[in-house]
Amino acid sequence: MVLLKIEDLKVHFPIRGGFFRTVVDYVRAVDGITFELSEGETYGLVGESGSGKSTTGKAVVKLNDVTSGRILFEGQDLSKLSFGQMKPYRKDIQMIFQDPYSSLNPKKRVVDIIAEPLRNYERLSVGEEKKIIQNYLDKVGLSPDSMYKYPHEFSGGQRQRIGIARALTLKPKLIIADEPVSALDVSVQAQVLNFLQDLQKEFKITYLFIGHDLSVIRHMCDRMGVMYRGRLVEEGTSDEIYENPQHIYTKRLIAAIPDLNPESREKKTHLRKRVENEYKQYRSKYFDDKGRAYDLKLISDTHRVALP
Amino acid sequence: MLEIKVESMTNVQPVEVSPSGFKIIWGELKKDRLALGSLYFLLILLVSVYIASFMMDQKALARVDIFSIYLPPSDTNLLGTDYAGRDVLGQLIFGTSNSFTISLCITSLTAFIGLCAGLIAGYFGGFVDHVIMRVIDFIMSLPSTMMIIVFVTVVPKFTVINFIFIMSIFLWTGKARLIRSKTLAERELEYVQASQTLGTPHWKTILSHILPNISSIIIVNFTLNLAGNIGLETALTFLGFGLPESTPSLGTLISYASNPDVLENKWWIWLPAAAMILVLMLSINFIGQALKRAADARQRRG
Amino acid sequence: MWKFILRRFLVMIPQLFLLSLIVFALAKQMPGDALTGISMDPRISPERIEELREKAGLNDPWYEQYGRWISGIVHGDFGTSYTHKIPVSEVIAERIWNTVFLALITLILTYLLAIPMGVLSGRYNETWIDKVVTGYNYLGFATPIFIFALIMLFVFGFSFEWFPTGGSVSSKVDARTFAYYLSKFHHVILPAFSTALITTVGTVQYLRNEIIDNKFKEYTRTARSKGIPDNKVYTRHILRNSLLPIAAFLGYEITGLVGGTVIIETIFSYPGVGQLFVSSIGLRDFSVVTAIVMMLGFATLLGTLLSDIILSMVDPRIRIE
Repeated sequence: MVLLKIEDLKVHFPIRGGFFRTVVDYVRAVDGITFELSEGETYGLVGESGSGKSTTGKAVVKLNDVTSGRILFEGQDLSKLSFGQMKPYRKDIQMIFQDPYSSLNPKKRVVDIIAEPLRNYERLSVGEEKKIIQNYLDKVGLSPDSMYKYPHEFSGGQRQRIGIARALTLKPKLIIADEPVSALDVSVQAQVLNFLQDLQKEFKITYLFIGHDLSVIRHMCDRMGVMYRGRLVEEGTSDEIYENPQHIYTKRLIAAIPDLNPESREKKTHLRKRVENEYKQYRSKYFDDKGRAYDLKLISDTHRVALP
Repeated sequence: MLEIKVESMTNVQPVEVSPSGFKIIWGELKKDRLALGSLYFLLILLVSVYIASFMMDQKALARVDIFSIYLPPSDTNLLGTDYAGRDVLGQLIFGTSNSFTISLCITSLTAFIGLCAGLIAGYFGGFVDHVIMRVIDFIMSLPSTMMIIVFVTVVPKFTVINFIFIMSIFLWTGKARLIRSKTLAERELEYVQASQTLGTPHWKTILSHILPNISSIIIVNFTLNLAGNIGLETALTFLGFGLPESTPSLGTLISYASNPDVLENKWWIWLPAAAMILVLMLSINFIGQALKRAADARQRRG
Repeated sequence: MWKFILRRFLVMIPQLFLLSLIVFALAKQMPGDALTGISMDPRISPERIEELREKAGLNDPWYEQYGRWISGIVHGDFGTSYTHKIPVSEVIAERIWNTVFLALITLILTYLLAIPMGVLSGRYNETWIDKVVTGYNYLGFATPIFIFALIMLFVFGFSFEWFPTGGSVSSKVDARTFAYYLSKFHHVILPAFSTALITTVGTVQYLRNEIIDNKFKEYTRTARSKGIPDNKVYTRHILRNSLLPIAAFLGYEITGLVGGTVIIETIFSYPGVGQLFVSSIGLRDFSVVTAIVMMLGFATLLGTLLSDIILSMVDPRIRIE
């Protein structure tokens, strides 16, 4: 069943300039993308920084204004709702932020951080609230006595888990994870990722997973979309994208993944050179005269590529 | 799951519990002897002044006695008398309590207006911010001393309340600007966005998230402004455009010195009031500067 | 660059318009108008006064009156002073040069005090000289100008009698002689010095911080590593970079002085515009008051404009904003 459907979403930011500071142009952060998430799956959005993947995620939770297009969550269009009208839906859509340092208010105790969403939606007694928080702290692997500590007393990985506990308390159906591990040490990344997968099984959560690290996305996601300059250039199951990339940008992206096996290094270098040549030669074929990617076309049941 | 739990138990460093705004500030203040001394001195001075002014008979003090004009300090009048034979010490006590109270009112009112305007402009940005900033720019580019004087002259019924309002119109802008810039910086942090996605309404995000994080700056600014406003109020009263006659201020005593004879030969009338203003402003400033250093140091530490 | 300056000028136009509106509204609130003096006269009948009012346009709608008033100002006509019985522009013209002279000397003194203090305490920071300057800054920051000026007047004017205690020039000297200019200078030095000693504090503080910042920048280290002597590093590199923003604050400094003239001129009985303003309010001579507010308001706006423009030249980042 489709949980979230994004239809021709556009997010444009005005550029002001000239003598009277009028709008002269727009930054087309997200420029017409369409995709959907089924219940219980993990959908990955990859792309380099500035490709519009975070903007897309933030548009879903109304942190960015939508210029045009529709965001259908369980059939309800969220894009036209005001900040206040959005409130009931926020319960079902939560977000995990990139930076575990700035995403927790340094002046609040862990108990107040995790209880913030609960206090917005439910009237609980102090005891009930404490029980729920203890339960979630346990779920994310933090000891109950961390409740009365402040964020700066925890490591990056622990902070990220506090952020996850906060997102979980309202039992959301969809969690948007905006590069949830890219600010963490590599040694901690795997822990947090596995842990996110465990939670998915336990609570039947759907993830919209945003990242720039292809190996992380492949590990996490069932299906994924590759974004480039505000457009989707390719979409498919993770395997399709990895084994059979069709768009030149995707090919380049995958060729750039470092290989840890020293024996295949030469092969890899060779591949990279080939892709680079292909990119130089055929680049113009993959983009229209404005440098914009074409609309997606189906090439198999699940695989879509932006070809002319 | 198991692995994670092990990590969490070994990795929690026992760091001291992070105290909130006031506690930190108090902790820093205790280390600064000059500031701490100023604080105690100020407290004792103000408490005794307020108690004394409460017990004294203001009507008796205002009584004109033409037989004891310009008496130098003596046992009966510790600081002598003024041109109408009124006791200077009594006026000094009343003046101090009046000047301090009114400066406190002005500072609180401007802090409130500045806080509201600054938080709203900084948090919402866009058009609201633009309008508020234009208003601030304009008020800041007016010759405020003169404007206050003209307002004071023009206002139909001049009272202490009106005076406080007139002063506040021109004095909230700097504060608003400061708070706006701090709010802008704070709003960029992800915890504000997080709060929005958690269904917290805007007003609650502003009050319970942003406000506590800029509280130390507000306290520092409040203290320094309080000192500044004492100077401004007494200066205006000195010129004759401050507190009305019925509410003597420290500036009233000093204004007697516009008479060269008083300035040159009757120091006991104006010098104690001048010294009182200096002492008040210095000690409040010492406290404020220490708070400022504390706030800056804390920011550096992260 | 030119775009920024032009835009900054355009911003000033509505500001000026608003200022004039406020001043006009205040002037209308002030008790009495151009005919108040005559209406006191019992020999003139109320009907005659009404006729005069009608003729003078005082019964017209406010915007017509405003239009006349503002076009008068543009042509330098501020009306007639009710106490002096001469055009307001002439009353002000008599005083304005005294104020400009005082402000100029104050500005020069401010910078003369600030630069050596700031440079020394910045270059030798954390030494005794820095501590002395910083301590002085503390005191200066906490001292209101009017009290300091009063004490200066008491000590150097009345007790030591080194300086005159009022006026702008001695009445015993003839105009346009050397003694006349000397006497003018003698009169201005105490008020200027009293103001400068206090207002210099902000500049000292700023300069000190600038120099300490620049001391540890890469370019300074490069210069040193090339073997340039320390003195030269300071005069050629650090000072040049630190003084630019100070120069930019000139305009704001002027703005501050405009506000201060009222107090300083009153204390030293110095016959400038500020003192004229206070005495005119006392005499209810509101046409003079309005003119002064309008004029000094314009000066303040110009001061801010000046600083904004210099700043934008010194620091291109500001233009982007």
